[in-house]
Formats: sequence, C-alpha cells, structure tokens
Amino acid sequence: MTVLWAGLTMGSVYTLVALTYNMTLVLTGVLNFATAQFFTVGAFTAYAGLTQHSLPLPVVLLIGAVLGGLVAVAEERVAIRPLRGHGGHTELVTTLGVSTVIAGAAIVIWGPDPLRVTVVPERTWTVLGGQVRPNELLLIVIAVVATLGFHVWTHRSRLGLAGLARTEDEDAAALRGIDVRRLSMLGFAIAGIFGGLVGPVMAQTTYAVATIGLVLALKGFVAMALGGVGSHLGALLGGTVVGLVEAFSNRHLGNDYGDIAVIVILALILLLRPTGLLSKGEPRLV
Amino acid sequence: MSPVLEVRSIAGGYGDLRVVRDVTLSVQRGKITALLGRNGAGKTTTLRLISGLNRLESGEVLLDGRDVSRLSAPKRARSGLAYVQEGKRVFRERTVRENIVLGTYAERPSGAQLAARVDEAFERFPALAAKRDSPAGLLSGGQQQMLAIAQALAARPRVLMLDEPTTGLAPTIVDELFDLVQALRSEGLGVLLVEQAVDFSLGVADDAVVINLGGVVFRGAADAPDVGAAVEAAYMGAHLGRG
Amino acid sequence: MSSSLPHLVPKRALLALSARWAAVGPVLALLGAAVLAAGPWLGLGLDAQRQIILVAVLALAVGGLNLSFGYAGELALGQVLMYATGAYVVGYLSTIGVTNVLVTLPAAGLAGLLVGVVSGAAGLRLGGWVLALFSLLLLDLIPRIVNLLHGRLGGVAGLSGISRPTLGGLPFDNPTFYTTAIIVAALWFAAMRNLVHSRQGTAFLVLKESSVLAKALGISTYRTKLRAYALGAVPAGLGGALYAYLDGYIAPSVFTFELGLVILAAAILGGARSVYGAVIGAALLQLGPRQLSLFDQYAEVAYGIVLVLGGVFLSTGAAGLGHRVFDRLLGRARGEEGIAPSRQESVDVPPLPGEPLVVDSVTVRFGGFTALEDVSLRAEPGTVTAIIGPNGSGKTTLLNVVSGLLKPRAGEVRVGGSPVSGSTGRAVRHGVARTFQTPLVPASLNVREVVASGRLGSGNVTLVETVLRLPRYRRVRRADLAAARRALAAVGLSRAAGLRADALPLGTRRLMEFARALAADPAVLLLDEVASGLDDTELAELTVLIRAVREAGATVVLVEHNFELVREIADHVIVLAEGHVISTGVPERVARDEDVVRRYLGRRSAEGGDALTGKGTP
Repeated sequence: MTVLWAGLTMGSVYTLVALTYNMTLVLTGVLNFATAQFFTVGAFTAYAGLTQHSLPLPVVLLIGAVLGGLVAVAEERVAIRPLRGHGGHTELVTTLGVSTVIAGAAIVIWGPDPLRVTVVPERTWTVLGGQVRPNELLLIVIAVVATLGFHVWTHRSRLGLAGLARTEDEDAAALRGIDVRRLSMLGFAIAGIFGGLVGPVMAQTTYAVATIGLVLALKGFVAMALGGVGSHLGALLGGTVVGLVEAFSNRHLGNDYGDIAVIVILALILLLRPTGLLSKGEPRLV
Repeated sequence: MSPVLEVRSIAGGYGDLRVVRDVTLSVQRGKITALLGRNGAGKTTTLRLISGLNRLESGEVLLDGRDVSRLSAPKRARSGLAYVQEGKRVFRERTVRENIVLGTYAERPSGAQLAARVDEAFERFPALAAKRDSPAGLLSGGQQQMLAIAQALAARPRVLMLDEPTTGLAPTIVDELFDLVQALRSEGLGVLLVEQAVDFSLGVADDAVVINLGGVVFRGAADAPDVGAAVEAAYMGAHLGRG
Repeated sequence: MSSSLPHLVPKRALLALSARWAAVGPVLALLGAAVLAAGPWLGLGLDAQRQIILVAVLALAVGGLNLSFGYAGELALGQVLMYATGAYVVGYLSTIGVTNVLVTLPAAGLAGLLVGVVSGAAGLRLGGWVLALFSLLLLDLIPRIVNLLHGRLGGVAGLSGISRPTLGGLPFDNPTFYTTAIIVAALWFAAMRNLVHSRQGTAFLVLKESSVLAKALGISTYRTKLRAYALGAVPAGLGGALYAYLDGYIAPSVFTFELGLVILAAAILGGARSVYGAVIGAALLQLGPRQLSLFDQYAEVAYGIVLVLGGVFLSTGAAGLGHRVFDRLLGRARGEEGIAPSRQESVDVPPLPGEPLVVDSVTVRFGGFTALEDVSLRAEPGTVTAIIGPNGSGKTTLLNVVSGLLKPRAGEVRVGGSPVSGSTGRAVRHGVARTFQTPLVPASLNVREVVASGRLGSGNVTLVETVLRLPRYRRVRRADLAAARRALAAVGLSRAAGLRADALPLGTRRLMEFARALAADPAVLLLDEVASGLDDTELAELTVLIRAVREAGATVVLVEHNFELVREIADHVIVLAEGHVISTGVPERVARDEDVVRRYLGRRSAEGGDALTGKGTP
C-alpha cells in the first residue's frame, strides 16, 4: 500500500504538470516546454522564503504566485510573441531555451544539490494499510480539485471557449473580438501563477532542485500524451497511470526499470492509440 | 450623411510585398459597396487592412468618423466592424451554438441577453437552429457560410465586410445570400462586398469601387453606365486613369 | 518598390554565380574539406586537430538533425541517443578486439540507423512536439541501459581504454585519425547534399508543408518521415564513434540532455534547412563558447539564451542569412514580373495515356453521416466528365475517394480495370492526378520544383541511386524537369518557373496546381473547383487548357459550380445530391431535368432569366 501512495503522489505531480501544459495549449496554442519550471520557481521561492528567511507560509505562496506569473509572462513576451505567424517548431526551441535558462539560473544561485522544503508538518500516517505523509495527501487532493476546476472552466467559461476557438483559427478569432495576444499572455500567466502556488507543496515531495524541471517536463508530457492532449480529465488519468507504473516497476523490477517502463507505456500508446486514452479522435478531412 | 466606414489612401501587404498601394473607398449606412477587381488585384488584402489583420503602412480607416487605424483587429471588431473571411471560416470543432456565442464575445452579454442573441440568430437562420448542437465542421458548405455570417451578425456590427461569400456555393444558396444581403441593407447595415461574380456584386450593390494593381481605377454608382467598361478594363489588365 | 540594391554589386556576375551555385557550392565545399584533411601535413598542431575533430563530430550530429528537422520538419532531440549508440558500439567492439575501421564505423552508423528506425517508428506516429519530447525522454534510457549492461559497457564509471581504430592491422596515428574524421564528415555531407537536392529532398519539403498534398502525390508520409529521421541517425552514430576513438573513454555523463541542447543550438545557429549550416553552427559553438572554462558555470544559461534568440531572430540561421543577402543583392526576393500567366491562343499538351475511370457502387460514411451512397460513374479517356451538385452533396468526397485519400465503406474504384480505392499510392501509380479546392502550395519551393513534384509518386529511384547520382537518378530527374517545363508552358507560366511558389496570387496558384497534375502525365485528371476565384480571362484560358488535355487523351473529371463552364466543356455531367446520383447525361439534358433544376439550380434560374443581374429581384 505504501507503494500505491507513493505512486499516487508522483502521479499527482505529473498530473499537475500535464494540466498546466494543457492550460497553455488551450489558451495560447503553444506547448510550453518550460511549463514544469514554473513549479521549480515555486519550489525555490519556498526554499528561500521558508527555510532561508523564515517567512510565513501565506506570504511565501503569494510571492511564489507572483514570481511564477512574472516569469511566465516574461517568457511569453520574449519567447512566444515575437514568433507569431512563423509556424513550425520554433516555439518548442525557444521555450526549451527558457526552460534551460531557468534551470541554469537556479544552479548559479542555489547550486545543483537538492534542498529540503517543509510546507506542512512532517509526519507519517497510516492510511488503508500504507504509509503516507500529509503533504502527499495534500498534493493528491490538489491534483483532483485542479483537474475538475480546469475542466469546468475550459468548457463553460467565455475565456475557455475563446481559447478553444483560437486553437482552431487565430485570424477568425481575432475578427470576433478575441484578443489573441491577451489570451496568450493569460494562458501563460495562469500557468505561471498556478506553478508558483503549487510548487512549494510539490517541493516537499520532490525537493527544490534545478534538474527536477526536466524530469517533470518529460513525465508530465507522458501523462498528457497518455490521457489525450488538451483533455484535463485525461491529464489526471495519464498522470496517475505514469505514477503508479513507475512506482510499482521501481519496487518490483529494480530501480532502473521505472523510467524504462514509462517509456515503454508511452511507446505503446503512441503506436496503438496515438490520440491518447480520452480523446475522440475524429477523422479529419481534406 | 457621413459614411459609416471610410477608408483613406490605405497601403499595405505581407512583409515586404506591398499588395495594396493606394485604396480609398467608403460605405454608407444602409448601403452596399461592391469592391471589384481581378484576381490578385488586392481585394482581400484591402479587407485585411481595414479589419486590422494586416498592418497599415499608411492611410486611415474611420468607423463612424472615429479613426481606428491604430487599433488591433479585435478592438476594431469591438468597435462594430465585422469581417467574414473567404472560405467559410467557422470554428469547425465547436458547435453551431458555440460559434454564435463566440460572435458575441466582444460584448460580454449577460446570460439572458446572450440567450436572446442566440435566438435571434436562429430566427434569421432557421436551418442552423436544427443543427445547434452539432459541430460546425459537419455542416454543408452553404450552411457554414450562413453560420459565418450569423456569427458576425451576432456582434450587431455597424459594417459587415463579406469576402467572396458565393464562392463554391450552389445557385440556390447564392439566391438566399442575395436576399440576405439586401435584408441587411434595409436594416441599416453598411456592407462592403468583395465578390468574384460581377453580376452578383453589381446586382446587389449601390456603389462600386474597382481596383487594379492595388490602386483604385473606378469609383461610382453600381449602375453607372461606365462601370461595365471599368470592370472589363481592370479585368483584362488595361490601365485606366485614376477614377 | 523592391528592396534590391542593384547598383552596389555587379548584378550580372552575381546572377552568373547564382545560376551556377548548385555546381560551384559543392566544389568549393569539397576543396575546403580537402585542405582541412591535409592539415597535419600543412603544419596544423595537435590541439587544433583535436578541436577540428570535435567540430566534425558535432557537425555530424547536427547534420542528422538538419535532415530530419530542417528538411522533413520533425524536431527530434534524440540525436544524443544515436550518438551514444555509435560511441558504445565502437567501445564495446574495442573491448572484444574488433578495431578495423571498415567494420567499426559502418557498425556504428548501422546501429544509429537501427535506433533511429525503432524510436522513430513510435514517435513519428504523431510527430510534432510529441516526437520532440518522446525523443528527449529516450535520452533517459542511456544511463539505464549502460547501468543494466554494466559488465559490458562499464556502467556509471565509464568505459575506458578504447583503442584507436586500425586498418589492415595497423593502428591509426594522430594525423591519420584526424584525416579519417574529416573524410567521414565530408562523405556524409556530400551524401546529404545530394539527398536534399533531389526529388527525395523535394518530397521531404512537400511533406513538411502538407501531409495531405504529400499523400495525394503518392508519397507515403509515414515512411518518408521515418526515412529522414532514421537517415539522420546515421551521422549521429558515426559522430559518436569518432568521439569514442578520440578520447578512448566514454561514460553516460557525456551523453546528456545538455549535449542535446548543444546540438540543437548549433543547428539553429547554422540554419536547420541547410547542408553546410551544420558545419557553420558546429564550428561556432565548438570553437567559441565551449572553449572557455569560465563558461562552464553559466553554460546552461548561455545555451538557453542561444535557443531563445536563435529561435526568435535567426529563423533560417547563418546559412539562410547568406541566402537572403544574396537574394536581396539580386533583387529577386519577390519578383513582380512573370506572376500573371502569359496569354495564349492555343495550348500544346503532349499525348496523355488516358484510362477509363470506373466508380462502382461506392458508399462512404463518416460516423453516422452518409456522404456517398451507392454512387457509380464511368468516365472515358478523351472526355470531360463534370460532377455538379449542391454543397454538401458529396462531390469533393467523391474526388477524395477516387484519389485514394478516403477509403470507401463499400464499392470500388478502378482505373483501366485495376482497383485503386483506399490507397493514394495505388491511385497515383495508375495515373490519377488532382488539384485541390484550396491550392496546396509548399512555400519553400519555387514554381518549377512544385510542378516537378507532381511526379514524385512515379519513377522509383532508390536512395543509393540518388546519393551517388547514378544514371537512373539522372534519367528520372531529366524527365521530371522536362515534364515540368512542358506543363508550365501549357498553362502559360513558363516565365514564373523560378519564382517562389507562395508569391503567386490565387488564380495563378490554381494554374500551377494544374501544371503539377499535368506534369505527372495523368491518365485520369481530377480538378476540384479549379475555376473558382478565377476571373473571366483566366477562365477562358482554363477552358482552352481543359479542352487541350481532353484532346491529348486524358480522362478529365471536374467538380464545378460554374454551370456555364460545365456547359461549355463537359461531355458528360453527373449530378449529386445528398450523396446520391440524381441525374446523368449531356449538359443540355441535365439542365432540362426538372429534379435537377429544382434541387440545384434554384428558383430564379428555373424562371429562365439570368438570375443574378438587376437590382431588386425578389
């Protein structure tokens, strides 16, 4: 059971990253490789605020949200907006660049070693026969609530609908009064604020460490691809599957097998059901 | 009476390719202006420049006397300028109803207002009401064109620009479109119509502007005796003096 | 109006150089490589040799990335995996005593190829950024596998004591190894150059632009992408092998995400859609920042900045910058002349091998919606068959079935008696060519190449024949160009042959698409609303052209709304409504069919008047 809790916890981490990918994809139309680094921003803010400067938690969360939002908006301004109309994979290149800059900056400032962050008191509970910590349960709750929240927001709200329209046809959206640039900025801001807010909680599980961004970016991507790109419910499903597969493989097959199993699962999905588990996959016509 | 849309000496294009060099035209309230010219003359680019999709290099666009030249495309749309692009560009994966809701995006109507606006659209286009919950991409071409117009009208614009609305439509649908455009005119809307089918264009329009190589070669009433000659000259590639 | 600088540089000389650039460029490159290879004998120091080998190694990996990313449009960051594979292959071979360079280097290249095929087969299903991230994910496999095969590959601690390669039992000394590295790199870039400047390269670019177009031209999209991706893995494997030999030591810590960043940054800097750009980019990075030890701490930040700035400002990299400067000097970036087709009275279309087209009880359903129900038709060579009908009646669907893009639920399509349904490849091989309602025009090609691309589905030329420019390749290429020339002349666009395809206005693009279909020497020519958007003059020319194609013997099928045009050129009309054939016959008969008039032509036309003239018609 402990393995199950561990798997669900990491699954929640991957779900949260996948949700954030989706959010920017829907509103901005960009797969932002630096998405996971917004959580890194939150994590290091928590380390600096809680551990180094002993600030109260709400203040730290606020700073995290503001910093995350600022970094995201700056990224949109520098690495996304100038590319409008270029097409191709340029955005992937520039956001990969931003991600690398953030990770590099974290190394320059805090060094390469993992740093411990304590947001909620450290203790161990036994739930359903397995050991789990409060911060892990909190993470799982956040992932489920965020999934539902994002899902309803995207499909019910005016902005969500505008985002879906923009995804299809940017010019046509602009002609209906949808400010594509504002929407794009918003997509990044929401992702950044969300990452800055949740990052501290996540860091208690993953530690604050510069290299985690790459791992989260990739595992979050697997979660998203597994569930179906753009589907928030799919993100939850995909994240949970990745977390569990990884945890059980590491436990029962050996430490090198968790990552291998995740890659195998992704490869299988890409071969057998390339649109992901939760997408309709309608045929496209000429 | 001052025109609802006034375009003064605009120029622009794509990157360093200047397609429109000098176009001046106007649309009166409750009137239809036809913009004619051979393929490649710069008609669509003119509409893109007016709508704000392409950047104006010079010239001015006035909406009800207000200079909107420096506004972005969404802001111009919010000021009452509606542009229905060529090629039945609806949001194919969204439902018919969502497409119409998107038409009202700029105004943030309340729930009740929104419902009224949607009902209004379905009243005008009953064929769409029957398919309100199916994705727009599954509609027939004619229905998609109607939906595109319905969407633009949902914003209650002051000016409607239509780019090649009859292209690829069956004659019966073209007839409906003809009636629709005339109805819109009688409701007081100003219409700027770009249409390859000269008969359709001149048949429905009050005023005509003929452009060639990015500049105006004729401007006058749609039933003026010399309009035919101007159109023919522009279409055959001969140069006329600036009209 | 154009931004050219005609008087600063002797334009004529530049034009001459430009015309011969295709021949001059490779010669210059080979000369450069020869001089470099002779370096040790020209007094090049050991340290400089090492640096140049590192440039060559990096350039090989970058070249592979350019092939798959720059040409075929698939961004895969898994080059490091192939690179590591090549390195570990020669490392492992060395531990079991195999050092013959003629065995080890090919083994490394082949191993790279194998990894490319296997990883590409999964990742390319979706392509786009899914492939990019998937390939990054694969990098994580390197330490895992090295660790699991600890006994053979040295584990985390690394594999040391890799001995230098040998030839005929003699180990390479430093200058020999250096020269070998240069030769390997030069060979790869020569092969790559021949590959991208060929119909194969055109196929990559067409695919990058539109997969529907690629399919309609008979290009197998998945296989073509996989080919570019897998071929790009070969130089990465070779580069890894050279790297392993250079230091005699490899460890998982070398083959990291950071190395992937360096490769991508070099590709972006040099220009991904270029051959020599890979060398420029690799040299810029290897001889520049990587030299500074101070750089280490800030390395990641710096690479990140290169990617951001490179992506934003250098969309075509250093190589593209060179081309742009050149184009600007010549003032030919966007030609204004030659865009309109030239007027012509008669059209010369060489004989075409027309075949009867039979559509036999075809039914197509999308979900619950029946687009075509039990539709049959027969079109004979040397005739024009028009398909008309209201919107949504299934006309384009029918064309999509005939051209193989859609597989019918029931029924069959036959060309000259052979079934072709459900496969664009089969349709193209049996001579089906088409145009599109919205012309599909690859922006990065010029008009001549676009038209020649109509022949990509025929005339199989193997990769080896392409790379080595063997006689069959030359023969097919000559035939392609001749056909393109004829087709362009037929539609009156000869003067536009050298222009960028995306500079043409819509009507001219339609004619270019027509020429592309014509260049394939079609047995069956499908025209999808080819007249829409054309003005009267262009329409008149199109009429002449379609007649000429009919006289040349082809089976012409057109979907058309302009009934005047149909009346003028069609021998036979088929009327579709809601997926059913409701009437067939000669145009005059169909025009009198009351059902057709009611359903299609509408009330005004039914009244007999010319409907759309005169204001205020009710």
